[in-house]
Amino acid sequence: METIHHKYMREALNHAQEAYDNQEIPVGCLFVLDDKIIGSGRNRTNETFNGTRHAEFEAIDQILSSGEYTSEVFQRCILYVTVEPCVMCSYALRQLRIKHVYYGCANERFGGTGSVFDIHQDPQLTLHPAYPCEGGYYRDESIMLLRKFYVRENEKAPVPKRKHKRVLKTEITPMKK
Amino acid sequence: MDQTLPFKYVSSDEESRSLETVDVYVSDVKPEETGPIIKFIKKYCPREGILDHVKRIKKTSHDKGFTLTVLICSVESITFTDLIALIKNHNLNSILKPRIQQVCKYPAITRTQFDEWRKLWPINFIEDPKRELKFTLKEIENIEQYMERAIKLSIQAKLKGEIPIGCIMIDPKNNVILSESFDTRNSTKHPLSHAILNCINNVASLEKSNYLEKSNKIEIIQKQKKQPVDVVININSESFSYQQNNNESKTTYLCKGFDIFITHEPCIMCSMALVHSRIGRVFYGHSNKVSGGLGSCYKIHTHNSLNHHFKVFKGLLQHKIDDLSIDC
Repeated sequence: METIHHKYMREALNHAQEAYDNQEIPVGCLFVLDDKIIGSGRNRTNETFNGTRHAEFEAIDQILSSGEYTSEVFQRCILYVTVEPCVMCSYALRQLRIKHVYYGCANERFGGTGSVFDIHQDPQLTLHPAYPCEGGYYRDESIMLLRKFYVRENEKAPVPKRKHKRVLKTEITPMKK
Repeated sequence: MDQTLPFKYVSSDEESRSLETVDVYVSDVKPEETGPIIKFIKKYCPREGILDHVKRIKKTSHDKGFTLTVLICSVESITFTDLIALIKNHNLNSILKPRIQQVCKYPAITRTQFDEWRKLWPINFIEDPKRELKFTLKEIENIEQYMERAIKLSIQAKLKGEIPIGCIMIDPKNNVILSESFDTRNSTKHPLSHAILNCINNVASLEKSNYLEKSNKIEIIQKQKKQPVDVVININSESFSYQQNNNESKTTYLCKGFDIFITHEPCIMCSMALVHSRIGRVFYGHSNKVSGGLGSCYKIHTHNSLNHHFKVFKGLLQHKIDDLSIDC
């Protein structure tokens, strides 16, 4: 069933697609306040020569530099992001006291909200409250975009890999629970 | 480490763990019987990769010569009854009398672990030369000077009403300072403007402008001379030498190989930002017990599933930083 979360995730996927079209790792996101999108972003690590310019940071900076909101706004915001937030973004979101996070597919290598660590709910981190985080919204689409990206060659890597032998896989294993 | 250093190495859990054991079946054997017994073990007993670091035979010297003891397999892999039956099936019950013995569970990474753990049962050990933590006096002097500068930056931050955390990134190959920054959460009203993120952003802008400058030059040269590509590369490499102040180099990629000096242990966000930036080494003074990602709450720099690891040293000039102490 198409829920409101699917509607926003579809929009986040458009931003991920924009990243893909610009030779960036295809991850997109948006922040929703009272059923209104107040900021969006997509990965720009290659363009900026900066490995920390993830979709979430792009959107956060867009919202804070607009002059319309103070950082307290995130306490009332829901984040939709196509891939599970990495460890860095997970703790950034915790510092912003984000209300809720929905993501598409898990991030087995860097994920900070369940895959590698549980930064979103680790009780030893007492400075900022825990937040709920749920995955699986347009998961297959998020995975396929990433796979399409990784069969492509990345000329920005220190030693670019030849990937002409790679084949795009289309099978997707069911979500772990 | 023989050297007394003014900072402490922040080891991984694997490096700092103490002895954990696993139960195995062993049996004393006569020297002339070891050959067929090893053959039997290799062919018929369960094999486990987890015991690759443990030696097959232990030799114990005593007054009357020595005793050889052979490791059969782990207790977990087969029950005692099944093992006895297996031995009997191969008519080895007169020479193999299994008993249970403890051996170390994990491979030793440091020499201290090796020296301690081998007492239980002999183990293999290959010392990783990259683990060698030696610094020249000159290096230590430089390291302390860089931290002094980071402290000055944190004082500057405090005077401006910011959270007093300062940091500085350098290229250790030529001791060029790439960026100096401090926390600006208060003035920017941006809760994520931590010193390290500010520093990484500065270095990224620098790399981007160097790149653009370089590609503009190539374009101009190509237009002027219409030369084949190899000549362009030659001219380009000359431009590196006079751009040295900008630390231009062909191999620059994010913060790969750079050192960062920061007054306080980076939080989890900044620690992971350093992984994403491929940092070389991190030196910090004051530990951050509430959100530290490089030793206190997490050890992000050594975590197995993350794709980049780096060395971290703590406690550098800590007494000076403790005066500024805050949790962040």
